[in-house]
Amino acid sequence: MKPQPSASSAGALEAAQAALAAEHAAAYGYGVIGARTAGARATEAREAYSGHLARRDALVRTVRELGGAPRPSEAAYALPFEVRTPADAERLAADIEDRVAGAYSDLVRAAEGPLRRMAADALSASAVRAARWRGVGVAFPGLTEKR
Amino acid sequence: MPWTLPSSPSRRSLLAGLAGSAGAALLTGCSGGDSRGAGAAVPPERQMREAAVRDSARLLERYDATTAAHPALAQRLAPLRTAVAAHVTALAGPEPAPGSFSGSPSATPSGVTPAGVPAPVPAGEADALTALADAERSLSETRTVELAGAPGELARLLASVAACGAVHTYLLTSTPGATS
Repeated sequence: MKPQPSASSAGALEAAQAALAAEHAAAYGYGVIGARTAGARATEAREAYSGHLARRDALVRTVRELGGAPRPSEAAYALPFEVRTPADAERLAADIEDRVAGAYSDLVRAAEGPLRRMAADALSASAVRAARWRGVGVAFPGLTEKR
Repeated sequence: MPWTLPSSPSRRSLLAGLAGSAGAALLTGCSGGDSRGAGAAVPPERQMREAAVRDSARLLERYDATTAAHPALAQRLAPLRTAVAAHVTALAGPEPAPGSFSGSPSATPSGVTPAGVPAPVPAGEADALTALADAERSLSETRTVELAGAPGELARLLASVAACGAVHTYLLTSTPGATS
């Protein structure tokens, strides 16, 4: 029982798939980050990891509801830099959250109704996590053109 | 049971309801096409932008009032204030919005305060930060709801600005230097 495809739902589907891909990558990345952090930071990494898994699962359902086949996770991802120290791990975590925030800001633009709201909430969550990892925020989370 | 996307008419009704003016209400139920640039009179998007500019300008005034009352907080608040000033500029958009301003650090002129009198800044530094955090949180939550009625590109900007408000709430309520 698929909804009738329309121009707007096609855009939403594409943006939801992109957000799903970002969440798959985030889940992989936090696996690496969890292994390189300790103490309070490890707890934060674990919480972030489960948060991303929950968003990923929600997006899998969303993509199906929009009539698409959910994009699968890659077997492995190339890390943007070598992650050896806790500081490397924190930098990777902040970068991952930036990437995820960017995908959700695009989904806000493409979607309407409850899906848009979910994307806005996810954008906020990623922006707050990025600021926690980095200690500072940016003026326009998720908007790469305004960096 | 899959939920369906709201149909175009209901989106327009919501948008008109949020804009809250008779002129915008006339647009309710017009059919087809993208909402961007559809309105002939005062476009709802412009009204939303102007309201958002006013909200952020009011927040900027609170930062200035807080810094004036507690100069010791100036350094901590400076980057946050800079971000809010950038929001005012970005929300004003390509056309100049009436009442928008550049976000220069000049003090608020006395007697020019529009309708709502700004809340007084609490005497204690911690309370002042809490009050600012509350203002950020409240505006961020309002925006997250209101962006439902905005055209795509403006909704994306509002979501980003709301996310920044959530970050500011976090930064204002967390202990400085506690992390990294």
